[in-house]
This record gives sequence, structure tokens and C-alpha cells, in this order.
Amino acid sequence: MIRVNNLCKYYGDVAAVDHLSFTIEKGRILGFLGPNGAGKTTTMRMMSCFMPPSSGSVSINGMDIATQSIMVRKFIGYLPENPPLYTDMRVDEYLEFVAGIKGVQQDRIPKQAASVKARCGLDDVSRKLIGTLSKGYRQRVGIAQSIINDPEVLILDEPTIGLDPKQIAEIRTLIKSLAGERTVILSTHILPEVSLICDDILIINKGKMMFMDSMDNIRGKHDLEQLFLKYTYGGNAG
Amino acid sequence: MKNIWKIALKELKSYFVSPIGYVVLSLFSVLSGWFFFNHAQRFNSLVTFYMMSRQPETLNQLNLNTFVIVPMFQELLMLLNVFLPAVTMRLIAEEKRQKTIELLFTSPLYTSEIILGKYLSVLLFLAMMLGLTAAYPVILFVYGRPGPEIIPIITGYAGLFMVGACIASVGLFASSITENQIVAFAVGLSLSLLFYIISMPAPAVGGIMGDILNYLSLKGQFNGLANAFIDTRVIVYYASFSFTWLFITHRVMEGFRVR
Repeated sequence: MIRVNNLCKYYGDVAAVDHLSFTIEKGRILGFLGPNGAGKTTTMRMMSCFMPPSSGSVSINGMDIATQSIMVRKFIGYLPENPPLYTDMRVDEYLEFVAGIKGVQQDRIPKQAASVKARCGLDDVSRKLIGTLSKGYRQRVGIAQSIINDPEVLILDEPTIGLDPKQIAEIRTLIKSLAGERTVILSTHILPEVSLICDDILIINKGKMMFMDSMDNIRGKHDLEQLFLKYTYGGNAG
Repeated sequence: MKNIWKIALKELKSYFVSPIGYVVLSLFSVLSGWFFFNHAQRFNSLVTFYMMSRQPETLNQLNLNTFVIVPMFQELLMLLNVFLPAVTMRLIAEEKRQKTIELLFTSPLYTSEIILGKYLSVLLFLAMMLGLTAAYPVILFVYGRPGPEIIPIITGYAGLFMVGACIASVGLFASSITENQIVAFAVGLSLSLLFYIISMPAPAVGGIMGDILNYLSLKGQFNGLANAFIDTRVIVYYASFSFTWLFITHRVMEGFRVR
């Protein structure tokens, strides 16, 4: 379970994230929506322990991201907006390295790497240099690195950006299959995707929380696009 | 400790996946070989000259340590000053540019482990660079009559390694303040060069200030070791020099995170 409490991040005087509070139950997939610059990436960076919050707190399975940072990171998988890939490494080598620094036990690394490769469809490219891979494959390697430590919480920042429709569908299936035991937080701009994958919706704008509800409550009653525009542009955009 | 080693191994591999490892090692050997050749050649002419002119006293004063090895060590030091910033320039800058720093910072690693791992990889690379130059003293031992003394060679190498470690720590710092490798190289080179020549005005300044300048100089500290004078103050100097720059690097990295 993830509990976000009055989370704030200031860049100088500008509040990128402004008193954000919400809770995500275990095993749910949260769709994290908002226009560009709303503070999605900043929030995810704080949740993944990349940067400390200016104030407020996040607890993941009861552990605080600021005081128990190193512990928390063992339970988190994070795919940033730009997949953090070493272009001069081979896929196998890269996954092995990530597994190592994520604290996967040495004897479990080969098995773990083989299983994420199969899951992400990387078996054919495992000997290739990451620098030579297409964007779709790179994205998959990015997802593979985020799940290599079998994380309980998975944070994905725009995992389908720049992919073609078939790849998007594949990644969607992959994310669906990853949920269940895991809690997934997913930011995206593709609204149909959200209604297909997510259990909960959170809309933020200018760092503030505008709307949060479960997909079951929204389905049938509201149109997601209408909802998004209403809470981000006051309903009169477009 | 394990994590430090994992980072070091990754960096060490990447020196040899990219051309940088081979380029630096081969150019370093070519240049150091050139210096060695010329010193050995000059020594040979001197010996021949004094033998011809029958001056046994002067001839006895000629020895391989003073005339070949010490000057070569001085020049190796200068080469390290140029080459090591080239080895360190990408270490952190590239992680920032490629955004892979996000991976390192969200993994269960302490920032100090990341820095020490990268530092360790440079030290290992430095050991390889110096290892290649070991061929020259070996040649002197095989063909020199009488051969050189071994103690000053060992202390000299220890000194080169320690100065190299100092330059590496400055280079790592330079790499941490930018995403641009060229900037990292320029800053690393200038800073290490500055500490190399900082004692230049010492004779003119004199007094305590002159002593301080002399003490701060990487070059001045090295001269004793090259001549087999082991002074604990020198070792303290090198250790605290590296520690200081690694510490500043740590602050910079933590600051980058908060920003």
C-alpha cells in the first residue's frame, strides 16, 4: 500500500507538486493523469526515491521514502520517462548489472533475467547492443529493468510514449499481467489506454490533486476525456 | 563493498567497450616510451663521452636512477595529468546526460558507493597504465651494467600511483558538475594542472606562504618519493587530497538530487 501525505516539491518559489495526498491499495493499477508540466514526473521521482520531497511524506508498505530510503528502493521498480539505458551494453549484460545493483541475490540473477526477458519479449535481442535497438525494444528493456527485482511497487512514467499501436497493445498486456501482486502507478496521456488498464484514476493539475476515483465508478457515468478536460482546463479547452 | 565493486566492474568494462581504454593505454605507452628512449639514449652518450675523456670520478656519478628513471617519472606524472582527466571525464557526466543516473539513484545504493565504485575503476585503470610502463625499468635491469637500484623505483611507482589517485579524484569531481564531457575534461585538466604547478611562485613568495604553496603542490610532494625518501606527511597529503575531492563530489551529487 502506498500512502502519500501532503507531498510538496518546490523549485525555487514555484510549487511543482502542491500538497498532494492520496492512497493506493495493494494490487491496484493507478492511472496518473495531467497535462504536461502538471507535476506527474516530479511526483513519481519522489516516490521512487530519486529526489527527496520539500515537505510531506510518502510511505510504501509502511516504510518512509525519506528515512528508510535504501530499504524502500529494494521494493520499487521505476521506469523514468527516458529509459535509463547504457547504450554500450548488451541487453543481457545490462539486465545482469541492474539486477546486481538492485540487490537481487547473485545466484538468482540468471533465472530472474531469463524470466523478465521472456516476459518482455527480449529473447531475440539479448545479445544485441542496446544502442542498436529500436525505440520499441528500448522501451521493453526499460520495463524489463524495472521489474527485474520483482518489485512490489512499479512506477512507470509514460511507458508507451513513442510506440506504434501494436507495441502499445503489447505493453498494455504486459502491464496488465504484471499487476495483481504488484501495485502499479502509471502516467500517460493516452486516455483510452487508461480506461483499459487502470483500476483507479488520479488527475492532477499545476501540482494539485483535482480528482480521484475508481474506474468502476467512472465507467458508464462519465466520459474520461470530458473528466480530464473539466479538471485540467476547466472544461472549455479543445 | 559489494556494490562498490559492481559499479567499478561496470565502468572498467565500459573503458574497453568504447575505444577510450585502448586509445589512452596505447598513446600513453607510445609517449612514455619516447621519453624513456630519449633518456636512455642521452645516458648512453654521457657514459661514452666520459669514458672517452677518461674522467672516472664523473663516470662513477652517472647512474640509471638519477639520469633515466627519475626524469622519466617526472614526465609520466605530466602525462597522467593529461590522460587521467580524459579517463574520468565521462564517469558521472555521461550518466547525467543519458539519464542513467536515475537508475543509480533509485537503486538501493548509497551515493558514496556510486562515487567510490567509479573512483575504484579509475584506480584500476591507472594501475594498468603504470603496469605498461614497468617494461622500461625491466629493460634497464636486463641491460644496465650496473643496473638501477630497485627501492627508488618502487617508491617512485607508489608515488605515481598516489598522484594519479589525486588527479583521478579531481577528475571525478569535474565530471560531477556537468553533463558535458568536454567541460569535465577541461575543468579536470585545469584543476589538476593547477595543483601540479601551484608551487611555482613559492621561491618568490617565500615565508609561510611559500611553504604552504610548496606543500600543496602535487609535483613537489612527488620529488621525494622518486628519490626514495618516504615521508608520512606526503602520504597524509595525498590521502587527504583525494578524500577532500571525493567528499566535494559527494556533496555535488547529493545536491543534484535535491534540485
